[in-house]
Amino acid sequence: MNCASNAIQDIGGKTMKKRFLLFIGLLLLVVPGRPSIAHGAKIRYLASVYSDRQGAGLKYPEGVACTEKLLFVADTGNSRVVRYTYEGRAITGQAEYLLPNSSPIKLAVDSHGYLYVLDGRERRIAVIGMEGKIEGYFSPKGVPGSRQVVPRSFAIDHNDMIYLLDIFTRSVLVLDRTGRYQRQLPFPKGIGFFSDIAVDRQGTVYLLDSVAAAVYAAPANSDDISLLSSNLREYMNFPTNMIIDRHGIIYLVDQHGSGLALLNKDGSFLGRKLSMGWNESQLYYPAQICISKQGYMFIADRNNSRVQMFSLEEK
Amino acid sequence: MVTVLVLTLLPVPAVADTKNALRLRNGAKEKLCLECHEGFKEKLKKSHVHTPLAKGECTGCHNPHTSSHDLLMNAETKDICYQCHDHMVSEGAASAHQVVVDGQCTACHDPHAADNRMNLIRSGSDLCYGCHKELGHKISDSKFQHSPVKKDCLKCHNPHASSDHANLLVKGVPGLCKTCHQTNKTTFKKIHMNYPVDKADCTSCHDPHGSNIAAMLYDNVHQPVSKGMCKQCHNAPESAEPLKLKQEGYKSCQGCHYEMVTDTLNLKRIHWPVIDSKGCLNCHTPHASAAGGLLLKPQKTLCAGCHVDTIARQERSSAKHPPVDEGDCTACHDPHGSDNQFIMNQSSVMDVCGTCHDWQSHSSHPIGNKVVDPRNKNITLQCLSCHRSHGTEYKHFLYYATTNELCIQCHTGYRR
Repeated sequence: MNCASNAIQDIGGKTMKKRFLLFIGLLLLVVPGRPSIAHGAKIRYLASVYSDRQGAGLKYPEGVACTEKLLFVADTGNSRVVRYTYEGRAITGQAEYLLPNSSPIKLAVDSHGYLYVLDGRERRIAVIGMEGKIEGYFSPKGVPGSRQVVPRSFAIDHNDMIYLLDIFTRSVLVLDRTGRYQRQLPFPKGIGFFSDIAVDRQGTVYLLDSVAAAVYAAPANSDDISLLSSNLREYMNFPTNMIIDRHGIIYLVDQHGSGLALLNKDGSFLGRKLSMGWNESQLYYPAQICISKQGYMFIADRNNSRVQMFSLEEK
Repeated sequence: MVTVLVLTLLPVPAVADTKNALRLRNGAKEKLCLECHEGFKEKLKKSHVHTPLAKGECTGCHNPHTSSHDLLMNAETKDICYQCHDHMVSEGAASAHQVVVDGQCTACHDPHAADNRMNLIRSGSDLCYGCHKELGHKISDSKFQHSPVKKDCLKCHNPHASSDHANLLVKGVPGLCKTCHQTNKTTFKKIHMNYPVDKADCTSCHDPHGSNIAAMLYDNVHQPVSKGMCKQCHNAPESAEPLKLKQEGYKSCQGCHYEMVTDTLNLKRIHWPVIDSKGCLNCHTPHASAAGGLLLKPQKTLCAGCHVDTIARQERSSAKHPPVDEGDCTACHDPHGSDNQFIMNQSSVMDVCGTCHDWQSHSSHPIGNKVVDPRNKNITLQCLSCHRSHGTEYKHFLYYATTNELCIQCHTGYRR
């Protein structure tokens, strides 16, 4: 940029520079919105996390959650959650939260900093405070007609509403942070199997059908879940996890295909990223993905027993 | 609609050559071809002669001069037959016979003449058994046989398509069964423990093609069914909803299979369908099944219902892994759940593979739980480090095209 500025000054002085800046300004006005990350996305490998601060190795981690400074890892094989801080590509182990006899498989952090941990063994969600203590277990209250809830996954929106993917009542239960029932979105007919749920900033609820490799969506405040994107089978094997970035791009973790598949917000397929392997920047049966506000992406690289950090760079 | 339009525009000659486009001399139409094709004189004596042939309109289907198709046909077989015999498969049919869809009309019909009605090349069920050999053997070998099946498959099936029903059935179940079986008889009700099964799916218990179990129940019967203990799972027959289950999901089964279900629920990695609203019934039938373990379908078909990518990988693979190829998924995996990765039935991959493969004599390469993978300090070298058990496009299920390419993944010093 400096070189460019100098060159302009050399040619025509301040007037030329003003014209150049005006041109750039007009160009930004003409281009509709920000360029979509997926069209020019560059996923750049930054670092890998193999162990906690004591040097104890991760074992089959399935969950990751991230804030602007913190990274939480569900170290599933060791029945614990490990907390890290990160700055740039430097990731430092901080603390471990032991969860004996549990199988933590999915994590999310709410706006108050509480960590929600889905235990695949007990099929319940533990709520962990900032001090690392279990504050309790998230329990739905007042769900009409339901005697049992089996959460396969969950998501938290920016208002701290919790969306429970309940495979027993075949519905999405929307609950406030105390667990109080708000509304219910019944699964549509003819689905394969919903494995994951995500909510974007606009409140649109997304559901991932692993069997059909399809994404369903329900607009904010609507109870009608309908097919957003079908026929993705030719692009992926068995997606199991999903996240939406700030541009609305849908990132699917293709676990059996050991890679990522990206969809536009209208459900159209944009492309695949990363591939199977054991070397850094490659994946082997990945599980959960998270994207921080700064554009850092963390992937629980389950069968490589590590977490990998990438940056999402717009070209 | 587009297809119809395209077909309409295709230059397929009309079957009935009414305008004598070939300008054959008078009287030649019926005889000219037969002057050379003498064998057809015998064919014409058969009891069922295809109308165009009977009229001597050979050019309805064949071009006497040249053709881009076998046997000097005017067009593809399907297109020619559909000129007159359209609507064999109605739009939106619930099921269609694959040979019909593929346009292989001559697999069943002789286009010239036959001794059987509809110009069928063989009569009755024998024609069907030509392709459905295994079913034919089962029907003839069954101890308890279904008499209509013995007589003619077409008693129950439409040979071309069924507009409203699965499996080419001429009528839905139980309506089809009730055309012969009277469900209002006392004996029928008594046998069925007074449950209103006349509205249920008879084929959830009975094998309509015959079986080796009395009452033509499928060969594997769930014990409560064979003992008439329907109330074990269902509401009482006199209740408002007698066929409704007393419990939802896996809880229906937990009463009897307590230990197995409880153990499964305590595993670290559960196979999620086990605990959804349908539970065990995602894979098992509660009454009777032709497949072992009361599975809904043979294992490979059942697992492929969801894991189509895994089965497809094996289909594409140059080498076949027998357990996958033969549909024995449980040789390596526990379908209910496990504490192990990939819900495998043993904690060590080496032990799983070692069930069939003597890996200690496999090679001198160090592998095992104490050998760290040079690419990643958190994992050890084991069978899956080099082989993908469900197959790859390369020999020995290797991840890479050549052995050299595989080796240099770790032995980086030898990279060129």
